[in-house]
Amino acid sequence: MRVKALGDADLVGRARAGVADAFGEIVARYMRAAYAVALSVTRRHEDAEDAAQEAFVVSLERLDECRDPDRFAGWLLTIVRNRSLNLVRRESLRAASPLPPDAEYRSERPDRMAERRELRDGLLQALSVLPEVQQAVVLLHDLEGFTHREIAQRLKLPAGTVRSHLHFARQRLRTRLQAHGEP
Amino acid sequence: MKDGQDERAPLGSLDPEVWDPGFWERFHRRVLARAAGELARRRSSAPRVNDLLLSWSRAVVPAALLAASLGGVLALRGLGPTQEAATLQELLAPEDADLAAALAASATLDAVNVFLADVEY
Repeated sequence: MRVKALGDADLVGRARAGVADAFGEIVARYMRAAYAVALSVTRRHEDAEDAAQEAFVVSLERLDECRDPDRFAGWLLTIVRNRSLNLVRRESLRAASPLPPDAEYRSERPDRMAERRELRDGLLQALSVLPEVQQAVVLLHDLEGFTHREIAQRLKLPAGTVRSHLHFARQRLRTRLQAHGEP
Repeated sequence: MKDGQDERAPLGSLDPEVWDPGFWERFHRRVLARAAGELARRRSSAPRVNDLLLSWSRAVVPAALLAASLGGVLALRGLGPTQEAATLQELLAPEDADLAAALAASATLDAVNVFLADVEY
């Protein structure tokens, strides 16, 4: 059976036995969600990438501690959040610009690069005023395309609470972005 | 609450793939490279079919040998013809003796009954 057709519990079982394809499918399935949660905590692209990658490796090392493999995603995102918080604590000692290095934009024209960077910085600034749970909900829903139900399962929240967080997060983001002249 | 595309917050520019094509493919590859050691460790410690069969045989073969030995001993003791015959003789002998005694008692009883009959009539 192809790993793409397997449920989380089966994938976790195979990954526990060291099947690389199964773990690869887990990573493919949740890397965007992991990045979104990490970004909601770190608010920096590089840190979010590091924390999300580290969380996947740690999750594999601790896979035997995942008591309910059907709810693997929620367990994984908890690890992502904790790794992100640890990273922020470590990085708080380091003065850093929230902007990514220009090298990221080298494939674009300079004016376009600056425009994109400005937009992304504005979004990160706007997100930073939201409570962490609202950031995670709005990133998972509006950036990664998760449904309310999926977010509720993964963040272990009631579906009604997810809808409420999403509503208020969007409202506050719009207000903030409009105040700064963003779309 | 309506959950339409038009209500979505404009977060598209936060997707690294937008400004860094191939980002997710590289992300995936890096994670698997970092996890390769742990995956290999898990593969080497996971039980294989041969190991399972070997572990079963370790327990099953001695148990089967013990069961066969016990069965053999019981068969030799329980089905031997000499012991069976001796036991039957032992069982029947007292019965013969009792029968002879009973017959003798019966003869005495008949004599008493004859005497009593004579007394009454």
